[in-house]
Amino acid sequence: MRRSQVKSSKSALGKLLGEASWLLSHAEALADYGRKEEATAELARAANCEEEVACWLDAAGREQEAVLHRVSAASCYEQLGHYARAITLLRAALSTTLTGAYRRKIEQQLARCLERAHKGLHRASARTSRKPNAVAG
Amino acid sequence: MKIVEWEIEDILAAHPDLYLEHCTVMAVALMSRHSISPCEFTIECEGFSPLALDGETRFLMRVSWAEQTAIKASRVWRTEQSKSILERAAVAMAALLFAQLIPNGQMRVAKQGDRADYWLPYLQCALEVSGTENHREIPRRHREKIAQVLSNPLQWNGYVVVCCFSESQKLIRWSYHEQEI
Repeated sequence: MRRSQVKSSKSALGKLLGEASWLLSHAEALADYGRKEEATAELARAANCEEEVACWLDAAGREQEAVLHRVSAASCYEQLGHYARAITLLRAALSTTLTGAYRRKIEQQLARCLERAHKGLHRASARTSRKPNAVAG
Repeated sequence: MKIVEWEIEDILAAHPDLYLEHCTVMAVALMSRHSISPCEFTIECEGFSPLALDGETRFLMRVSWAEQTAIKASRVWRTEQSKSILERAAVAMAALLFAQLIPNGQMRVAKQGDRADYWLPYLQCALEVSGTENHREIPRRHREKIAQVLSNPLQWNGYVVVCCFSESQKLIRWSYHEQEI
């Protein structure tokens, strides 16, 4: 890769990191103001952006920072109730070398998401089984 | 003791990677309860001294605000819980200190579980911020935040900012901590 290309990819990464941070703080502000629908939409954008940031950081060899942003994306998805997505990201975060305390925090978050996903699945199954048979004999 | 005076709205342009308007409004909501603009804080630095202070570790910071912000702030108490107002106001104060006194002190945020973690990416430092209205709580809160900042997942050094917005004492304890090698 030429020097100019390295520089431009670095600044693109910096820009994306800044964008993710701005979206997260904006989502928090909207939630503070009680604008729930807008906050949810902004949080979803922040989650996507954090996920992308994590991939770019991985590609740049900044693995520890990538984990931080992957967990950030997972935390957004968890808040949005998208537990399956959060679980995938948390499992990916746990596949790298982490400090003991941080690993424990992520494991706790993963256990919480798994439990909520399981409850969601259970509720969905209960709803399906209560429905009357649509096909008459 | 040195005295500095800044406008709280300065943080909006100083931290392009954060949306801080609501923090500004909440800071004014707290400050304007006991003071007219500007509101005076005593700042105590530990473990470092900002370059502009020529080695001093205590100074007075007068924080002023615009009429437009005061109008928005007057509505805050009707809609917000006091805990979240305190937290956001403390973030605004930290943002002001880093913007004015620490070169490359731009802040970013990442979400970790239920928490918002603040970072100073150009300084490779973590940042913990806390707000209280009870000055007796400052030492305990400060100890807790030091432990938290040093356990950051990137194992970076860190800053702690604890802001007290009590009627009798407006104090900010601002400290820098290094990881033990």
